Amino acid sequence: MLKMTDVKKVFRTDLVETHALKDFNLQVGEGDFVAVTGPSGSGKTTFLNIAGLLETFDGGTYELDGQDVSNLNDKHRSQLRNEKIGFIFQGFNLIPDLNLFDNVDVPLRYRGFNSAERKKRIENSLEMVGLAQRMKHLPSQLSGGQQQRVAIARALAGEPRFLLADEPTGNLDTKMANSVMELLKTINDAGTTIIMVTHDADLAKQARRNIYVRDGQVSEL
Amino acid sequence: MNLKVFITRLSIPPIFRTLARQKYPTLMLISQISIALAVIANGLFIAVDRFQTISTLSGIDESNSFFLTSSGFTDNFNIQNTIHSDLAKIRALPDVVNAVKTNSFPYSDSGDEFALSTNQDSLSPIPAASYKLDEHGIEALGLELVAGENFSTNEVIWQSPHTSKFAPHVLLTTRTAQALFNTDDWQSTLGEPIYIDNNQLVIVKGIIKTLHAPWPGWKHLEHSFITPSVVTHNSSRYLIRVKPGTLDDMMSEIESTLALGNKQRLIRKMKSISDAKKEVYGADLAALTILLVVIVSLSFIVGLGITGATSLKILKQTKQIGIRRALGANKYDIFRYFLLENLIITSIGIFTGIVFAIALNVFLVEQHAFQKLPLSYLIIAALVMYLLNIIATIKPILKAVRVSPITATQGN
Ligand SMILES: Nc1ncnc2c1ncn2[C@@H]1O[C@H](COP(=O)(O)OP(=O)(O)OP(=O)(O)O)[C@@H](O)[C@H]1O
Ligand SMILES: [Mg+2]
Repeated sequence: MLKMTDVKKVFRTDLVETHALKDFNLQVGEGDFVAVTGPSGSGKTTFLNIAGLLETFDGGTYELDGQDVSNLNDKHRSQLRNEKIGFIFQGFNLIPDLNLFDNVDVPLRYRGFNSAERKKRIENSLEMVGLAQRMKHLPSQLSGGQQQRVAIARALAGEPRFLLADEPTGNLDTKMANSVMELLKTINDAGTTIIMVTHDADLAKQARRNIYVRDGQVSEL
Repeated sequence: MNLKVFITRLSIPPIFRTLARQKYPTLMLISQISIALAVIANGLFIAVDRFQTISTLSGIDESNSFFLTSSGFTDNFNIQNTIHSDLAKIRALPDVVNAVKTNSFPYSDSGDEFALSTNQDSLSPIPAASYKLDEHGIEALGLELVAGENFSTNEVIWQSPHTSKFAPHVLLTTRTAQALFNTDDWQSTLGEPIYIDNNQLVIVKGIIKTLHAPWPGWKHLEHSFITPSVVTHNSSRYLIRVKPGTLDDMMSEIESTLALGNKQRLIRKMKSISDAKKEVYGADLAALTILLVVIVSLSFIVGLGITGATSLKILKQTKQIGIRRALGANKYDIFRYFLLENLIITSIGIFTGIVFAIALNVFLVEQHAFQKLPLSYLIIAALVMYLLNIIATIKPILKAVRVSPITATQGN
């Protein structure tokens, strides 16, 4: 499903070179639910960005779904992101000027689905997260937990194989965090592979598998 | 990518909904564009109109002609003899094409207006300026005879300024003939009788292509006629046409020749036709310059405003661009998104601007007897605004294209 071998990532600024990932090795199987923990600055987000094709890397190989994705151009990477990967961010990252319907519509439009298909998917995914009644609302009219649910609906509407989440509960209180976690587990049970970065050990325990990142490298727990 | 997918990716309805939410920046851009368009369309129209007025030619050889006034001041000054000998002397000079005594000339702003008609009881006679010239007039003014013939020497009558009798023949300009006879067939107008001021019958002897009336800006500028006469007034105006390139030399030479040859008069008011024209149109030229400066600087300021507003908007939406990229938009999608958004704003601005421009023009037409704004100026102004917009927004849009998808995961 996802296979990283000796992946390296170096950030260079005028003053310093940061080796964010050093010989990062990881294999994630179909249907897995991986929780990634580790200290701040250890490279978790960098790993997720590379895994999600948001960022290029400087060495090693990365195979996604059996395809080597090391040297793809922007157009091709964008297309793979759109088709195979769903993102959930800590800050929800909904587009403030678009209502819930239009927010979920964003990746579906880049997919090129026709309007009937998009409407069906938007309604289904908002239904799944329990917000179908509020389709015409703006993100600012929702609570944080509800916004994160919309973000999950948006990530899932295109039925991606992968769901990548960077501290999806980081901005939520415990109650809301747990309900989002329950939602992710349901999604995983339905077959979607999930990689979730979190600082919360209790949440991490609920995943099928835990990995620990330190100093740009993986150590399995 | 097929067309349907392409259109879906353009995300047109969400763009409209987004713009509707961002009311103030959008309205500000739209109003800037529409006001600029209204001012540019009308300004350009006025400018072109002015320019045409300034650059139309009067029909005479403007760049090689000058005039002067000879005024007798002694009791025994003989006007007719003086005119005779002055003109003979001037015409004899090798660099002079021809010279004539005239009552008036284009740009002089002084002359006589008469009413012409094809029947004696006409209620709507044609206004026209009269030029009183001898048979040298056509060559001295550099006119083009398109039909009929010039006057012969013995047709020319010498008359005192107190009589108002006309010689039996006239030459008309094409426009005058057209207004009188409603035809472009100049030949057919030859020999036709016309009435001057509803009482004097004269016969059309020839047609002159163009000879403007002496009053710039007059509504019937192209209406004039020539009657073969020399008025013996104490002050005589001579119009002199010289060979190209000799104007300055000949002006001083002729001035001193005339002054020395006859001590009983003064040579005054000598001026080239080009200078007379400049004096008449000085204000128009200044207005034209100011107008062009206003149009160019307004475009520049509006362009800067659009660049600023677009840059700010894109800066504010950096995160959103990153999110779109993370969700599958490629660089072309981002480019098209902002280009389209801008095109929508510009088009609305242009549409309201056209309404504005027409309203402004209607106001000008009613208040200042202005002309109706032709559609072509609206089209040109619209194209200018589109072009200006593309130039003004291309840099910020390219900046948007460079926003990295990792922006979505940064700085939560
Ligand atoms: N764009 C960048 N330019 C320079 N250095 C960067 C950049 N992104 C990350 N880094 C550096 O790379 C290292 C790993 O960063 P990363 O964001 O992956 O850590 P993290 O594990 O996600 O930390 P946190 O738990 O605080 O989110 C850090 O030292 C960070 O400063
Ligand atoms: Mg991080």
